[in-house]
Amino acid sequence: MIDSEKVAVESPDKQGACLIEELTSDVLSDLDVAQSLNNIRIYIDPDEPVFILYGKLAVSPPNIKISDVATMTHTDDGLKLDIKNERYVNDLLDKLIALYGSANILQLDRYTVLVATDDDIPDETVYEPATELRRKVIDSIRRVAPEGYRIIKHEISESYILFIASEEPIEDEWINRGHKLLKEAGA
Amino acid sequence: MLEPLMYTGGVYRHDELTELVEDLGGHILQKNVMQLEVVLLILVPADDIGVVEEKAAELLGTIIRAPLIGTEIAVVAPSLAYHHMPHPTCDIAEYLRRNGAKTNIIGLARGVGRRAAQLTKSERGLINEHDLALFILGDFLSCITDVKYQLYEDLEVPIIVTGGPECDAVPYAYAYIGGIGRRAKGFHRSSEFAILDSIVEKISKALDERREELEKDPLSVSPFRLMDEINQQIPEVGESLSPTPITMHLDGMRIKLPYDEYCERVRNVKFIEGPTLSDVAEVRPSHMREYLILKIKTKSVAGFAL
Repeated sequence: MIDSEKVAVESPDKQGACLIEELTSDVLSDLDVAQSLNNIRIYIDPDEPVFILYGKLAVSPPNIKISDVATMTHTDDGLKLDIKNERYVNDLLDKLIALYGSANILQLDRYTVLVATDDDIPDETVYEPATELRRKVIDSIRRVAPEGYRIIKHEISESYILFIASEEPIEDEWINRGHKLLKEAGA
Repeated sequence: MLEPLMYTGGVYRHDELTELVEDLGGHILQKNVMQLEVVLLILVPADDIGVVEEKAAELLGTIIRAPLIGTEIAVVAPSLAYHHMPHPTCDIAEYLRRNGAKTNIIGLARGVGRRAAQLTKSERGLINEHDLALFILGDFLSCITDVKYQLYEDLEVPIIVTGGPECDAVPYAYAYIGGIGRRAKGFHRSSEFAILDSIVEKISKALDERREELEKDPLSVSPFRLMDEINQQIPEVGESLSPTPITMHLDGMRIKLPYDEYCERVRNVKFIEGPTLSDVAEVRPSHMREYLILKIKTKSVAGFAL
């Protein structure tokens, strides 16, 4: 359950603001991003019409590399990968297929993959938690924003997201208001 | 006067109840068999409810009054996106079904936003085929009172609107029910069920008024008698895979058979008194798939009543 103080909604329509606050809390809890987006500030005015959301992004875990998922040993049949973290196997296989082609990869069983190469595999990133987090956060924000507001401008950085949506072309005034929210939140 | 009831019980010996209802001059509108459970939507003469309740108790089933039986209600959401589904649209539709209504959820093509919100011709035709339309709107009062009425202002059926903010009335709607709006969670608390009950109550009231209006110039034949005649004379109706091959309306019905193939046979359904169905009702193609819509003529239009 999300802390209700995490979300602050400002709107000329007070009843609407309360309802949007409740909706935001529910959506974030439902999509499992309540811990990933903090200090949420929303401004919504259906008469203008505009929806502005600022949220502070939580620090995401480090990237997962090939060496985090499997240990590599050279054998007569090629390079053998012993899976130690099964959760990222699909991402690992995607990466190996991109590097060597599917014809050169053989998965013998759940925990063993053979690659037809004599060289070491470069220790590349197979999964980026930050990308997944952003995807989930943006998905949840789009669920909170009114559906008719299809013109969207957003800024996203390592630490925050600013999301402006409207039915009309985005006006400079709204962008300035968004940046004001950023300043107020200390980003 | 027929009383709408919902029976829930075991499959074993439930045919005794259906036979009793038929013997009493009642009607069975829908029968859903789910493994070992059966749900019957029935209409029973008001004086004989006691007999049916006794039989239900003997079969260890339950009988409740379901005021919306025999009606088809359109639950209209601005779109079918996750902003409106499954809460609250599906929850409300399900609650209406539990009160006996046949509901159809309609997601509009251009229902969202303010500037572009409008109803297409086919959507208007489809909604007008129902007995009543329930519009599920959002959280902002100015949207509901100043803009969104454009969606339903020229519909011919009674309109009930739900939304988030509390407000006494909205333009062009029979009633407005607040406290719902856009929701990302289901209805769990007793206060939330009270809102759903008030929707059912407002719908029942609107439909009762429509029934009273119909009584001033009564229909030339009872829709339930017509349904029984169609079931007997066109046995293919029973072969339809739809849960309600004939969906009842207050002044007619939707028959789930292809229009092109069956319209002549439906028009030629005969009554024992002499007239055919085309004398007492209009048959036309529905906006829903290829179904038939049947609107019963009033006594003043048909010139007689059966």
